[in-house]
Amino acid sequence: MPAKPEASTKPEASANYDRLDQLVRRFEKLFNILIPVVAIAVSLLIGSIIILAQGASPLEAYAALLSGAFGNAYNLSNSLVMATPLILTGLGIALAARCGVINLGGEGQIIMGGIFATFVGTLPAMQGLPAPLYIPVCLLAAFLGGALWAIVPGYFFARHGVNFMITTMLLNDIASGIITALVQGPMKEPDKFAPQSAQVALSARLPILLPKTRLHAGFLIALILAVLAYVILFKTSFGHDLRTLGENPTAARHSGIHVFTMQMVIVIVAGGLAGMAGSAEILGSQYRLRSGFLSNYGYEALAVAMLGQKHPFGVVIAGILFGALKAGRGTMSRAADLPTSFSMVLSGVIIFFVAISPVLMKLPRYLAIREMNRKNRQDSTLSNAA
Amino acid sequence: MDFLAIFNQDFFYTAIRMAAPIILAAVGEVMLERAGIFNLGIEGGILFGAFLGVLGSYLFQTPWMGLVLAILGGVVLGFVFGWATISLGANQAVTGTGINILFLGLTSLLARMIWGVRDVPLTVPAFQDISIPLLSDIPVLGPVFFRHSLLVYVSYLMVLVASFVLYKTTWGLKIRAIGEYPKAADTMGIHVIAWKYGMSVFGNVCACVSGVILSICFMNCFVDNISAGRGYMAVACVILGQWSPVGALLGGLIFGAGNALQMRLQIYNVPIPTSILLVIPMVLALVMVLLVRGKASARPAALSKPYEK
Amino acid sequence: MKKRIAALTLAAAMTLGLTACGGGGGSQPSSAPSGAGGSDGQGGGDGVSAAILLPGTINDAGWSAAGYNGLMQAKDEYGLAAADYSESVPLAEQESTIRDYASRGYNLIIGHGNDFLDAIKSVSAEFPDTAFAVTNSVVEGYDNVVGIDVKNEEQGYVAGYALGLLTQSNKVGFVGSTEGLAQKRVENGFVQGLAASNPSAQPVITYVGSMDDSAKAKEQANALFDEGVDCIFQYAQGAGIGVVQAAEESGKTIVVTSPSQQEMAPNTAAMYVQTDTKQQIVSAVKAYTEGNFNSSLKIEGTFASGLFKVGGYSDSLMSADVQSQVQKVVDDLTSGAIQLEVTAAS
Repeated sequence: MPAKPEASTKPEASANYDRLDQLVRRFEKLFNILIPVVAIAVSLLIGSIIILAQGASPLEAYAALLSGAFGNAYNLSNSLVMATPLILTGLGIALAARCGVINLGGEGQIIMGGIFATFVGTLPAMQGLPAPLYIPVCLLAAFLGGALWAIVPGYFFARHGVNFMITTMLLNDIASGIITALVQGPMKEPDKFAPQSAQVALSARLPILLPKTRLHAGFLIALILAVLAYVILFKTSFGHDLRTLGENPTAARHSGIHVFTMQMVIVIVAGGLAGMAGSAEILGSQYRLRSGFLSNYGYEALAVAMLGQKHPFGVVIAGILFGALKAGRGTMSRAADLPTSFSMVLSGVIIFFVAISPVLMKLPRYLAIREMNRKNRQDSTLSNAA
Repeated sequence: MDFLAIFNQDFFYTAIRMAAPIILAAVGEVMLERAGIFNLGIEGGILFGAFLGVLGSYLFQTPWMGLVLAILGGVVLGFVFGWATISLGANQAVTGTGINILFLGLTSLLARMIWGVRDVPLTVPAFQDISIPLLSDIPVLGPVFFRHSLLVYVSYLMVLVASFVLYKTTWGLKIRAIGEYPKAADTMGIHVIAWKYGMSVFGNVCACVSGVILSICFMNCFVDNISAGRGYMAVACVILGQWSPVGALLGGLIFGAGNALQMRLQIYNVPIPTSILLVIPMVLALVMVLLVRGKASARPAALSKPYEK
Repeated sequence: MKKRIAALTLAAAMTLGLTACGGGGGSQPSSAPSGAGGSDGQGGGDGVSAAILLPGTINDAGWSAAGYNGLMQAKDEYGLAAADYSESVPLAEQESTIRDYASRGYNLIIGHGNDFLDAIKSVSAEFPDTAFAVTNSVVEGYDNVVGIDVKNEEQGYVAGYALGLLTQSNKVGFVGSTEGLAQKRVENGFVQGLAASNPSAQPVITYVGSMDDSAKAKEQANALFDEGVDCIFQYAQGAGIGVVQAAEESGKTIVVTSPSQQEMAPNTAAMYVQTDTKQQIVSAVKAYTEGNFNSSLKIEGTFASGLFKVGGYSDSLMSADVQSQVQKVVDDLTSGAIQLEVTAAS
């Protein structure tokens, strides 16, 4: 909803307004890509101060970061594997944020997805199932698990206005208590002492897409779901209602949108996608359930959703960026002899700059207005000359 | 096992002690949220304060300088957070998340740079517990309430101070007006932006001092991630307490008592897995949040919305 | 105006940050692990480069610190060409970290904990010339993967045995951090040791639920003391500092896990039971240099193989009789006269 620009006080306001609008749009497209890049560049610059303080070379460190993330096929695949749960969880968070629901419960929903997928994936009764059947069943179970963990806070939010952020945040801790108890008790690998589940059945594992790499089918699923999310968000009336609800709740209510149903659906989808993120990691990479199997991904996915401007494709790109950072940070700290805490500082700074970068989105309008005024001045000098 | 035997004098002492840092941080957050800003970055603030407390005490060999340094750190953090969320209109939840991750890394990094890699952390002079004369001799109540460290008393006093300011003074009226109807407050001549900055500083100073309680009242050293989730608990307390300082106090006590209970249930060897017992405080808080849902309207109307003139 | 305030704030923040950094500029981390180290030790490990992957930080005062210190000592004394580490390796990043070390030509890669086993197994096939070791694991059927079977229960057994002799109230506490494999095995041995020395004593097992929350660990210890526990064994990693302080402040006996912790509680720490992984790492390096690194190699992590060190007997807390009884148990564990079984049930 573009606000009325100041330039519209001129007599030819309406024509000017249209031209301005076009200009703004053109600048905005550019900025959508530019802003995350700027945010990350500034963060790396700040990070280099710390690297220097540690007595290492920033260039060397960042070169190692890049090579660790993209240096060869394996490293690239590793980045994409790290990105997969971030994209899946981030998609759910982005969709929910589109209608004004901030989901801080990704962490717990990921855990529940992992638990459900592992449970089904290790169920003796299902071992004979062929992969084309077994894998979808596991993924579906994970979706249900994640959705289950979002549905209770979702109901209380949609029906009674109970703060969704706080309930989901508390449920994160509760989920981590549950997983720790499960891997020591009911879900522990029989006859073993280690607190971890048995490995999931071979036919339940997500296939590796490229031999000699870690890239598993979970990444493909994430991409497909991103396209699906895009279509739903921008090409269906449901998506239109969803965006209306987020942008203008009062108008949405008046236009007859069923807010409760809408919010419940979106909460279930967000939880379910996070659940699938958990299962993708278990079925595609770790193959067994352990406490803390994807720690901190829920919170990072929030940053991914925001960095991606809540747009499904933006989430994919931002997810890959964060995945690359995760994949490359180890190589970086080993090459430049930096403690692990440095990569945490770097992600923190990046998230901070991602958060404040929307202020730059005000620039397109500013630039467009300046451009307009310049043209108008030219026109008037021309007409004066005539 | 006599279940009620758990709730003895020591139980209440532990509950009150454990609740103090959460309450102080939560009271700061109440004021912040009343002025319309949601700060998820309390956890980072607590860590920063805990680190600065030890640093100050280490450099000057007195915990008082630790406290001073932590307060200064809180002021700086308050301005940075305010600059991002108030002046630039950044998403407050995301900014907070960034601050949390940043300070988890930064405090650990700086601690290692300054004190090196050590077997056990360096210990520094710390605040001692103060028994209040006469009061601490009252049977039962004395040992429970009046044998704490100075900053623990400050935490509880801050609840009274914040309540008084918020409900009995014109300052409080202004703050609440800003959180509910910033535009109207502006037309009344209240400097909305300045007040928001003020509350951001107050909230972050509270968080930092809360960290000082952890590092140089309860302990006398800095350990990585010493806050261990207390910032998130403080955020929960604000909502649990319906955005009132006294409510935040009750919320903090639920976490304190929940932890005191959980520790004792472990000792009594109840047949529940330890990892489930450990999340009892969160379960209690969740149940309370869902129960007090009736008054959701207490939430400041303009919370988390950036203010633009 | 607004911009000026913002600029000033930033500048102040930067100055604060920089002074903080500046203050520490002089004291870099005590040991810089990377790069080619000198081979001025007894020799034997020349040209061998080793790396260790840790689940926690190198200063966690527990499991990960033991692994790190062991490798650094092995480097100094045995003359490794390079010894590197990666700390706080998340479960999701294990495989890529191991592969990174392997592809950069490290000869010996150690995963410190059973958690690393799956990842090491899957990488090992690709790098047949690289030697891999996993602590807390038993490995069979891999030519280049060796399990170091750390019998943590022996460590707990000694602590439990000693505290059984020292307790007056017959209530003996255990404070762990989070319920991992090593923790659980220590706990298991602790209960066995206590039962062996004092069948009427009751073990009180508690966990802090965090590797770092020392303030909470301190309250947990105080809660134990309030409920009549009069002595404690702490195995709570970084959080354990809180337990040590609680014991010292309330004058209750404690068994700690390192000499430096004992220095924090000079009046109440009766003894320490330390994990020292140096010998295991040296064994692995030796086997590698001598060409004996294969599927039949077994490295034990026991008293007998020098993994655990007991010492610091406090004369004021332990009578000569008690000291000799504890020492006898240590000797029996070392000689194999006492064999412990961990039960899978937890």
